[in-house]
Amino acid sequence: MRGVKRLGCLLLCAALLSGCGTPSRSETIFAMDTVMDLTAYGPHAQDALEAATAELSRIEALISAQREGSDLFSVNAAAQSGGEAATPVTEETAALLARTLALCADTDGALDVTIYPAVEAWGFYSGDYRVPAASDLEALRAQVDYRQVAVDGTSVVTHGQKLDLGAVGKGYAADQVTALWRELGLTSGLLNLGGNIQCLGAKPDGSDWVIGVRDPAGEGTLCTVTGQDMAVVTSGAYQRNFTQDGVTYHHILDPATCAPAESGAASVTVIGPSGLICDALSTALFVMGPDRASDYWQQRQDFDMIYYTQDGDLFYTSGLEGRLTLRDGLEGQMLTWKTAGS
Amino acid sequence: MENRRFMTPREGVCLVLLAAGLALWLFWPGRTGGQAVLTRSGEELGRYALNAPQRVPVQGANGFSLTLVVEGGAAHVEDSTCPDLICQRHAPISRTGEAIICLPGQVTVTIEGGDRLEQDALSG
Repeated sequence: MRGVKRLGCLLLCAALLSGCGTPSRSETIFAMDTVMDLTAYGPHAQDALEAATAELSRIEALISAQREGSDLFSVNAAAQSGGEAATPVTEETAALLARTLALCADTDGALDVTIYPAVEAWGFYSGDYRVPAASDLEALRAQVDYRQVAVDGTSVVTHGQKLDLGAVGKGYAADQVTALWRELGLTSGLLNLGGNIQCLGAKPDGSDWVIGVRDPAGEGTLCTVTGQDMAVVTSGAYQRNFTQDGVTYHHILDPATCAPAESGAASVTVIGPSGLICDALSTALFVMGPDRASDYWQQRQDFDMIYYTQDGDLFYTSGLEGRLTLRDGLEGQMLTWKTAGS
Repeated sequence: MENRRFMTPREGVCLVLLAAGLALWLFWPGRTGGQAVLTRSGEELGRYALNAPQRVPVQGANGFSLTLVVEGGAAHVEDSTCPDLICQRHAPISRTGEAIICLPGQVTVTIEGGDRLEQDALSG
């Protein structure tokens, strides 16, 4: 009889232990014109989710070009005059714009924060898609030039340019939320902000996160990459597009032409510690095309990328060695750093 | 005074077998069968077993509508009135972690309780 009691106690312990995982909370929200999945682990998971939702809403209200009352809306309204305008903004927006303008310069304009009128002309804001006439594109090219924008303290100085932080907004938001989660004591969390992935720490069991990269040609996975404390951001022509008269037009516009980039890229994934930089560079490297993108990586060497071309070629940078698993049948070429003189 | 060991070999074998059974029950992939979870603007509208074929008309946000179709153990979208039709072009989904999203209509279809994807999230 005592044996049966002991066995009962042991079974009860086993049952209780089987439920002792790290607590987690998940939430799906619509914000910043996309769907976002937030997952937090640990005893403060619920608080972390509530803080994240509030932070995402705050950032959207601050930097959405479409949101009346936002800093960017004010800057763009002032730019309507066409002449020089200085618009006061919050310190946060000024700092974000300054960082973004620096990335525009660093990528030699492959990223351009003044792309707003071109995105609007193609209908990618409203969903009322259309192909602008050649004369319209020529006029747009004269309006798109990040070098005409400056941040002076907490003023944004423009000369008729309208701004769009869409290429960095989700990355910035992911950085802010993960910083907030760290302050709350979280050591494990996962953000999926419309396909922008940001991993906080490691998985609850201490292992690496496994992040898939969508296959641009279908709904499967091109490859997976493992790591901790990283952002994984992909830009692809498949993400938003429309077809007119048998031609498909995608949403990644080349600032030099104000038309969809025809660089030979099918998708570009950037992996690094900063969501903002990964977000900005995934767009810029897509616009650059594979050769310029490779040269750019050689210059910076502070991020990793997976570049998949329309011809089906895939190359990746050496920091991903041992972390990348390609889907069956796909072969990739690894880029390594060139030393001086090589 | 009776002096017995904490557990006899027979009790030990029973415990191991029961623990193994419990683990199998808890972690067997898709033990409850997958289901499609339908939401609009973040609010859950319903759950549909993947092994029960059906068509579910959905009124999304912003005046857009679509039909969730469950057949062959998977879920997909038909008859969407959204402008880009990305949701409609998405291949059928059946594994936990997969999702179809209609951004204009703010409708999501996700899978729960099915076989798990190998990755924790999908970039792109």
